[in-house]
Amino acid sequence: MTKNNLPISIAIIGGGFSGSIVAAHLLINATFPLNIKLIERRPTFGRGVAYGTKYGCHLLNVPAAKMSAFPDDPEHFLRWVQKEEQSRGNLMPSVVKPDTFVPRKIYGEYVQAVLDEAEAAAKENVQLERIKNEAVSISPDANGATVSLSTGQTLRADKIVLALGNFPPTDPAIQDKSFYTSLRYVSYPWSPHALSDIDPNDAVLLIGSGLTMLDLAVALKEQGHAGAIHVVSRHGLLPYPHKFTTPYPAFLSVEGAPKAIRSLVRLVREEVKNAIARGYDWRAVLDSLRPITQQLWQQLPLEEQRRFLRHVRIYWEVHRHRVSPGVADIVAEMLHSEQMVVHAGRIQAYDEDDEAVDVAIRKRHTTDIEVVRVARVINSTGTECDYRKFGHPLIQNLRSHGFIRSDALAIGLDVSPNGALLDVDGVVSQILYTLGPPRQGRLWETTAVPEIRVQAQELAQELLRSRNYS
Amino acid sequence: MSVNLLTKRLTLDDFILEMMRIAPQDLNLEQLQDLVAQLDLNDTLLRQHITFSDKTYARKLLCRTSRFDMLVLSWHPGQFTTIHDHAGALNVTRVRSGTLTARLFEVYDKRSSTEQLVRVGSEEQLVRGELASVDRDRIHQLANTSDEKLVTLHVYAHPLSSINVYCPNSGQVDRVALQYTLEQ
Ligand SMILES: Cc1cc2nc3c(=O)[nH]c(=O)nc-3n(C[C@H](O)[C@H](O)[C@H](O)COP(=O)(O)OP(=O)(O)OC[C@H]3O[C@@H](n4cnc5c(N)ncnc54)[C@H](O)[C@@H]3O)c2cc1C
Repeated sequence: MTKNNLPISIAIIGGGFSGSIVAAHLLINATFPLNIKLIERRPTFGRGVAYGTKYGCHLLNVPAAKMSAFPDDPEHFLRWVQKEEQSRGNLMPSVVKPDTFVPRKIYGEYVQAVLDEAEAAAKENVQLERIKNEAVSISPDANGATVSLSTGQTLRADKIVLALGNFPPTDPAIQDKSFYTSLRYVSYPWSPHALSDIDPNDAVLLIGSGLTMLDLAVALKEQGHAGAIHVVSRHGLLPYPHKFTTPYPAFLSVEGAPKAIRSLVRLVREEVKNAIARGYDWRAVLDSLRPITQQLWQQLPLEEQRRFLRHVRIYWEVHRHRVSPGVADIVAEMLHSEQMVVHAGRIQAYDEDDEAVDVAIRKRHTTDIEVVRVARVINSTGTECDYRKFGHPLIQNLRSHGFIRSDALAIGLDVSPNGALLDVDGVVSQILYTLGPPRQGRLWETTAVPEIRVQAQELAQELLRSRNYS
Repeated sequence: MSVNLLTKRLTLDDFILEMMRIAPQDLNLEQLQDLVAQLDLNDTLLRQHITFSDKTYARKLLCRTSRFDMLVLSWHPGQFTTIHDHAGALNVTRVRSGTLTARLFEVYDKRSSTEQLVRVGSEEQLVRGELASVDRDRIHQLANTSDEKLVTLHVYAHPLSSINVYCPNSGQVDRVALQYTLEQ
């Protein structure tokens, strides 16, 4: 029995992929009166940062066959996109196959469709309320929590899911920060205006050389940019492209794996060497680790995890988070024609005049300074995950009351295995849960759809199981 | 339409002179909009007033004359104002960078001058160069509901000495005195 037979109320803050898919599972599986409040500050639900892009050239970095929202129906997205293509015709320039990298904005439509269908299929007493507003504070109490919205209204919920996702990058550290107030500087790479008002012949500097940088580079190309694209990052490493490979058999067991990062890396390197000699691709070796990455991470002592972040992360990122072959081809051509120039180093200073800004870069491992003159600088360093740095009222509120705390590595929030958040004293919350990117400290591998969809399903089951809340 | 924000237009000096040409009682919202729309947004003085605070949006007085106040507000994602009116002053806000959410409220239950229930009447998202305008006695709220930092330029004519703040839950209306120093 639910208390007083009133419907249980679950508020989900954040209507990106994570929040929407939790809502979909709740809608489909609830067998008792349930009121789901999905709170999203953006004008559209289901898209979030990743699938809210307006550019058709922004492709998924995971092939269609692996992007289903449902772990137990792996072809769900593929079927949806193939059916849509048939009925709408010009959805995609080519026929969608399992290995196609579909535009991200189409994936956003898919997430919306999943949510709509789940809502339509839900029992009469299971309802979804879409609240287009911003949550700014949460006050948990003995019976649930009160959520305040930026328009001053409040709402009650028995359980709350924080599906806040990806936070914007922070401005790169530099002594004189005054350039960061210039209109030539864009601090948020996914701003709808990051690339407006750029003369096609102007030189541009992108800070960071990961997937976010590639997004900006191909979008510049799409809008006909002909000027130089400078890229600066500490190592100057770009993500590798995907390639279809023969799967590599599992070579490491969780129990048998070393618990020290140096030995682990050595072991993987040797395996890659052997695999290549036997005609495999290195990608297949890394992919064979995916099913156990979270466990390998969890059994590393904290100091070893730190060591990984310090020394291995950058190499892991470019090998593991690969880019679609289509995008890789465009970028290879830009590099070949020298329209794109990659600088390994650190920005030392900005010197702006009426026409442009001179950016001084100290080259890696040297004292040499190189100056590039550009019309715009865009921070494309990728998402920030240190919750201590966020000025967002909701995070401030939760932190100042001690309802949440960062994980020991400060790359996400401290969570228990079921996604319940830990408070400042380490007490597991009965009310607040999270999934997706904030679970990074615990799981490491948690930011992409293949992981989040599992978490969304399990979290929904957990919330439905513990329905006798009082 | 794309606005070239780097083109120099009305300097602050020009703006002050233009404002002096119109008698305060004759100034209307359209005139104020036209002038604010022409201001140079890359102005060095303006840039010096951009500063962000973790606690709430940062409000810096850029210039005060007998005719108007000009302020620069810097907002982290999620920061927002109270629901308020400007006690008779005209207000035009221009977005310098980021996306501004501007909400106009309407009174749906006026119990007395100090107890009025309000609700959102309209909401719009404004981007670089665009204006949010609030006529004398309109009730509004501004917020940064986007993922990126926001910087806005605000002109109030006449200069503000107080505003009325509306509580959406209790309906209570409070007059709040405003005081700025240049350091604020
Ligand atoms: C640019 C980019 C591309 C990516 N591409 C892929 C890909 O191809 N394949 C893949 O598997 N993964 C990809 N990812 C990984 C991505 O993290 C996940 O796929 C997934 O989109 C994460 O969803 P989310 O809902 O957790 O986060 P988000 O998409 O960040 O959504 C969070 C939502 O919460 C809202 N929100 C936050 N705070 C509040 C608040 N206080 N009140 C109301 N609403 C709030 C935000 O507006 C946002 O819509 C990509 C990530 C990025 C950033």
